[in-house]
Amino acid sequence: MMDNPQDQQDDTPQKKEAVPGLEDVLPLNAAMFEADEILPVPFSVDISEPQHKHIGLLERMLAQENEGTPPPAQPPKAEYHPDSFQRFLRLAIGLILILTITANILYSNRSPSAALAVPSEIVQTRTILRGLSSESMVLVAFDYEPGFSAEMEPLAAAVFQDILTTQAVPVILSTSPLGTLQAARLMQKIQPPTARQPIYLGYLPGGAAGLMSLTNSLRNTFPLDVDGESPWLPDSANPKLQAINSIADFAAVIVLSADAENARNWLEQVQPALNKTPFIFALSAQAAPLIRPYLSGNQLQGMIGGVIGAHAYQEPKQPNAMLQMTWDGFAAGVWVAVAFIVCGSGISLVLLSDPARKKRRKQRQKRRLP
Amino acid sequence: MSRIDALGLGFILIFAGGMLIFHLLIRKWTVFSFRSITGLARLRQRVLSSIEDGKRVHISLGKHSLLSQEGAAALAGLRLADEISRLSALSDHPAHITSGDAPVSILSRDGNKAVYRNMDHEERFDPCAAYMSGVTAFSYVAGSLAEVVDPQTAVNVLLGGFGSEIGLLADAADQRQTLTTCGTSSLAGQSVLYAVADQPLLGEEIYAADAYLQPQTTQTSAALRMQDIFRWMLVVLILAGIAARFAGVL
Amino acid sequence: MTRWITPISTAIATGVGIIVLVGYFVPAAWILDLRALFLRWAVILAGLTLLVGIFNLLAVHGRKVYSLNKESWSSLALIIALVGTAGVIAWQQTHSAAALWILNWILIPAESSLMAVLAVILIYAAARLLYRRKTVFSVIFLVTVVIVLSGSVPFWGTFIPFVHDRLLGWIISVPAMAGARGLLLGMALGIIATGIRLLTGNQHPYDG
Repeated sequence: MMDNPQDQQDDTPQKKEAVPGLEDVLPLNAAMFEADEILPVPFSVDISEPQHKHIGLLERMLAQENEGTPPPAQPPKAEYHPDSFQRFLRLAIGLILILTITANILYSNRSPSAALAVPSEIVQTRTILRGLSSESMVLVAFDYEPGFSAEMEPLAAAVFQDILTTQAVPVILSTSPLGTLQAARLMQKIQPPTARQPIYLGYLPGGAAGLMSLTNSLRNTFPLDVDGESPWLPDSANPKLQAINSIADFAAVIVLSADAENARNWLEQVQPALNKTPFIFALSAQAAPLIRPYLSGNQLQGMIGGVIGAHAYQEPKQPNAMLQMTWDGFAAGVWVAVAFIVCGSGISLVLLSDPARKKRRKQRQKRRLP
Repeated sequence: MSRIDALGLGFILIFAGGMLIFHLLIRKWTVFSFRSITGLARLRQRVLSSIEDGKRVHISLGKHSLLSQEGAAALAGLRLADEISRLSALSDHPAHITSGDAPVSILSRDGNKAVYRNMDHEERFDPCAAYMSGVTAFSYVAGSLAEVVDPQTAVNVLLGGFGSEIGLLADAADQRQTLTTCGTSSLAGQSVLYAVADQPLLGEEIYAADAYLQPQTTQTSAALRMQDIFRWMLVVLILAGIAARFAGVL
Repeated sequence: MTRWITPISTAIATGVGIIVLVGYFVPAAWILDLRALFLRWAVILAGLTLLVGIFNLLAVHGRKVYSLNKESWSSLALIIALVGTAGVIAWQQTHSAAALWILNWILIPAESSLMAVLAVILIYAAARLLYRRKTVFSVIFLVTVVIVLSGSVPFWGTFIPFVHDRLLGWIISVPAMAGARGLLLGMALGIIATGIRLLTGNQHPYDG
């Protein structure tokens, strides 16, 4: 094994130069700095009275330290535990909500409690969906996740019942990874044995880019369905799909979405390519208000928003069973929430007027900041 | 090209030109000061003090697709994540980054790796520090909650495309009393944050976050300056439109 | 330090971005064809990255299992669930009975529970809002919440007059919508700025 060559050669540039890499610098000579004695330098310092006190304090502290008395044992730093009262309050809210909703679901008479005014967009949706025929192919997009099933399924059921009654064929795609499964679950619940089988195109990834691709070329975006077969061939399960070359060829396009941003993507990427094909949204309560302005711009032909929209959509003579089961519980839950918010706000105002609490709160907030 | 298309293209070109001019101006002569945004004011200080304390910063970038408009919020989060990763790279507990969108998670991992490479410490790069914690909104939140409530986590930065589920993360961070900066591009998410979080970032504030962490970046400053100018132009246009409507011109 | 690949990546990203953007405004056939091709690639890549993300998740939890700490058991459960579900989907169809069973009895209950927890958190947070932040805006926020909630559903079978008929619709379509549009306009400017920074190569989140 070879030694490092730099260790063997003393005449490397680094050794020659005083500062490595810099030429024309005088070399250091240790002998120059050898001193025989250290000369005392006379100096005087003026110390003020407070400085004297500080010196004395420091000397006392050092003396105490040297005495060897161990510092009193500090109690171990307690780990943070969430405020138990807060936890109790949350638990109480949760329990009261569960009890109220459950009691209302169990003991509900399941008849519409109050007649809702039916907005024009819901009337339009009904007209479009009930005007479909057995020749119609309807594109339905499932764009909600399992967490929103409780809200979205009654909506989807209301829409699908009309589609299935007219014997139109639903062509289902999903922009959420679990959308196809959600659609299959809904079909299992509401599909009568005589209804037409839907066609599952599958999952469309890529957000807005995926939707744009769908608009540009439907067949290239979905060359295969979920079963791995081409739905566009003449010998496929539903030969009527042969007539569909772009999304504008569908009798209607329906989007079931829980997210306003995703719904807006549909409006921006897909709607301009639809020409005269009706475009309908069934949205969650949080998304509906943000999409409503598009109705007045005529970019949307119909819309149902939230459980309330689904309640307004259903015919009083043919109530939606899935919706009837939850409507009373939903209404009761909303009123319990209102009661908690009003009472909580009132109590907060009373507590805030207490100066001692105010001080404690400020201290707590201060502690949080570094 | 229709009139609307021409208008759109013109808008983008003017915006880009303005950004370029401001970029050059700021680099040469001026140093702009930013208006105070409470949620961002102490972020750098908080991140640095958590590193000093031997604690970790957790950054969550949301679940919205990078290939949609909301992807811009994830990109703003990624810029911030890169800067925090740079600050904490050589500490005992480098930053952890979670997301709910696969392309965002790949980019966050890539950015994290680049930070170490630029520091000549690629061997310290941890491939598991940035990951996709779930595919659906709630599975992503459930996966990220583990990082939020981790005792090693002292600062939580929730910045990107979240829906209302951000309430779960912000509340968990609040319960653990960690320092939290949160903002989302979704309006539903913002309304939830207003109730749940102490100092949420609202509206376009999330796109300014990295400028507050790294104020010397001229590109971000130029972009913010152009946003301010265009915002005022829009305000004037809207007011002019209202006036014209009342006057019967429109 | 800039790697040799970074300028190439930036050039590709800028080129693809500009073609897709120009395709919006200039309806030339070759640009539209090229844009359609890039979008199809984007869709395929987005699907593939999902797989990469899932393998990454598997690696993260695999390491947690290996480290044998208190989180190991939950990580092990996640890996078993992930592999089991993938096995079921691979063995049967995407919308098979087994896949539906997983959706019905595991996914929907778990995610709905989180949604329910979120509802409790929101009620609690709204009730405490004035304690946290005593401002005029908090009061406006709470009053709006109460009006919208109480105007939406009937109370003992009857809708509250005026609140349900007029106030609710007015709040949603005038002040709430105006605020939402203001926020959206501000965010749109932020999105444009971010897009321009990407297109000009000012920001490139693909260094590695």
